[in-house]
Amino acid sequence: MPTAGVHEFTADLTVRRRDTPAEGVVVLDLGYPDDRTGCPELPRWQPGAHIDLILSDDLVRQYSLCGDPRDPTVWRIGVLLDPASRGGSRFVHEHLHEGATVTVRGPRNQFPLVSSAKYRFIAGGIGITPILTMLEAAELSGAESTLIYGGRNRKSMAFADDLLGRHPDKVTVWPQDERGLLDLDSLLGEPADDTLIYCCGPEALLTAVEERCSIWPSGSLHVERFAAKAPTAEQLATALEHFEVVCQRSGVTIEVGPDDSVLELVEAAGVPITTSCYEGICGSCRARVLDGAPDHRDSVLKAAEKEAGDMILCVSRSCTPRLVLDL
Amino acid sequence: MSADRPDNYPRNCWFVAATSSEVVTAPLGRRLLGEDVVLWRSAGGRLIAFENRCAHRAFPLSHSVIDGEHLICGYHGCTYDSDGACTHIPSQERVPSGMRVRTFPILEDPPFVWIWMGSPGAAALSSPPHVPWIREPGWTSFYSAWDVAANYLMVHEHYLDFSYATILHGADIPEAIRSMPAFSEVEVSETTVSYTRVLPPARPTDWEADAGGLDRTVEYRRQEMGTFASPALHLHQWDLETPAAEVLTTTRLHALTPESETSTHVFMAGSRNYAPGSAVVTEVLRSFLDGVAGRDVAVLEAVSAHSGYQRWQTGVEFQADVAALHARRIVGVMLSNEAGPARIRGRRAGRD
Repeated sequence: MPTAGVHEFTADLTVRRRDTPAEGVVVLDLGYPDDRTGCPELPRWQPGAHIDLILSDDLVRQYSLCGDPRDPTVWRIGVLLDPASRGGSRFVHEHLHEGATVTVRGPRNQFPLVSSAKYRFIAGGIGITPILTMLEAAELSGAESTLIYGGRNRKSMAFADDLLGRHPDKVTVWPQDERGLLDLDSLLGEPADDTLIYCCGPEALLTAVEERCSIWPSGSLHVERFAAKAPTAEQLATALEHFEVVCQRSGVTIEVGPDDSVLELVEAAGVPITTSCYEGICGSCRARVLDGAPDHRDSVLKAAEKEAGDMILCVSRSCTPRLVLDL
Repeated sequence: MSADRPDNYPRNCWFVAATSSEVVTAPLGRRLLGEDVVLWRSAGGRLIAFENRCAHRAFPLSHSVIDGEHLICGYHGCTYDSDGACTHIPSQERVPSGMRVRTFPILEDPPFVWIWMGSPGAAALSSPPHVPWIREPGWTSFYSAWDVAANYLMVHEHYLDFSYATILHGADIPEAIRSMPAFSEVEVSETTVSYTRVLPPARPTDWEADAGGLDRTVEYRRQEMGTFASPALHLHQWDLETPAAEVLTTTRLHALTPESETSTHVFMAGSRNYAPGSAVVTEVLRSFLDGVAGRDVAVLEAVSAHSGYQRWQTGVEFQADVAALHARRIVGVMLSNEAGPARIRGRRAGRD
């Protein structure tokens, strides 16, 4: 019996506007072409959401949406030209000029703004993009919030002036060449039950914040990363080379070998599932584990989500010979 | 569902509270998302939503008199301005300080009046979902509304399935289509789900032939599409292609608003892109869709009364439920984000 492929919203959009708000950063407004009449609106999104830019078959990159969630005609992203670019940001900077067409997919959200009385936002460099709308949403909901925005120097820090203008008493801009490294210990302060921490930025910043938040209540810290975390030596040691995955609802059982991806085999078996990055960072292929112990290799799930039994199928494996999934 | 939050409707979402024509001169009392709301229109034409309880003795303000830009309670005559502040009490000189009723953000976009029952400030960063068809040129619409004694997600999931059509609405589906085929496509985003089914060519049903002026001996190609646009809105589209490659589209828009955990207000718009303005065709479609709605309500109320949404939700899932399950997941995420952090007792988060 043919099973429908579940796919994410995908569209060819036009670069309606391109700005350069800071050194090495371009901001693109993506929308349907102007001449297209009666075109549907773009799907709505919540603060923290991101989209895929499908730049070629093997070049898919994730960028946070940083525009106005009320405007269903434009998706805005900010892209930093990464000197160590694997091709994504360089392609965007070199080819996506006004009028260019790009295939986009999504949006999806692994960084949702969970309701709270207080927020501490920490952004590093281009990691400011998802935080822009989150800060706005937090303010509108009446929560107390602060933002520390770090970067190499002022001219590399997009949106800094705008943020200071809008929220002078909430925002601290922290250029490294003027103030040194972020003083995370005093910025984070003592663990608090009523405060959530949202952090987006380079890996070194995320790791430092994660370390300091290990004494905070579980679920306090939310991070968004744009590069996959490497598996630890411990994880590699406990992982099984061969195991079995049972898709409970579909009645499908698959054998997974050392070079297989659970996701690819599940997909090949015709089990409906959404897929996207295949790197464990986008969260599309999340599934609920009913039995067995997954070996988490992704960079998406928070500790509480792993406790609750979620698993990311594209990169994660198993520590038990049998994994039963709610699929 | 937890004890302190037993319901399953997100508050930070625009829902349809009423149609514009329902709120003309008299205040309208209505239970929305488990809360009693009164909708009223000031003399200047502005629509206002209050909690439907006077701040003095909790008398229902739906029994009030509108005086210009004010609402006067029908019990002690407490007068409220459009911001919900009490400005006058007949029996004493001074109004107790801070005396007011709760107000809700409202957006009127005829034919619908949308309400925001969540944190009032957050309404500013959200807008109601796009309502297609009804204002587009070349389309003719008619409206209907009813209540169904079932949880609103049960109603959404029922509409997003439609594999039961040949059984429940057999007379309205072409005879040659014995069972609804599997989805051809399911498309998801952070906030939406939609599916498409391509149907095999078949002769028209009575409603199709009567509404579209079709030849009953010709086989037509069709596709059926359903969309979960938000927790407040379901869209259903039925396309029929003529041999001349003209596409006759008949749509149903259902604005679904929880009244309580076990009852839902449904505001329906039926639209078409053919037979513009024809009262005869409107009557054909109205009678067809009334029949559909009646059978939908009967099934949902039977399950709801007999088993409830919990039992409905824990049944064995079919392939045809994939869209409904995605919708359930979208709502689940909205609810958990609104509920706040999920703390695991006695544990500390760490790097892992």
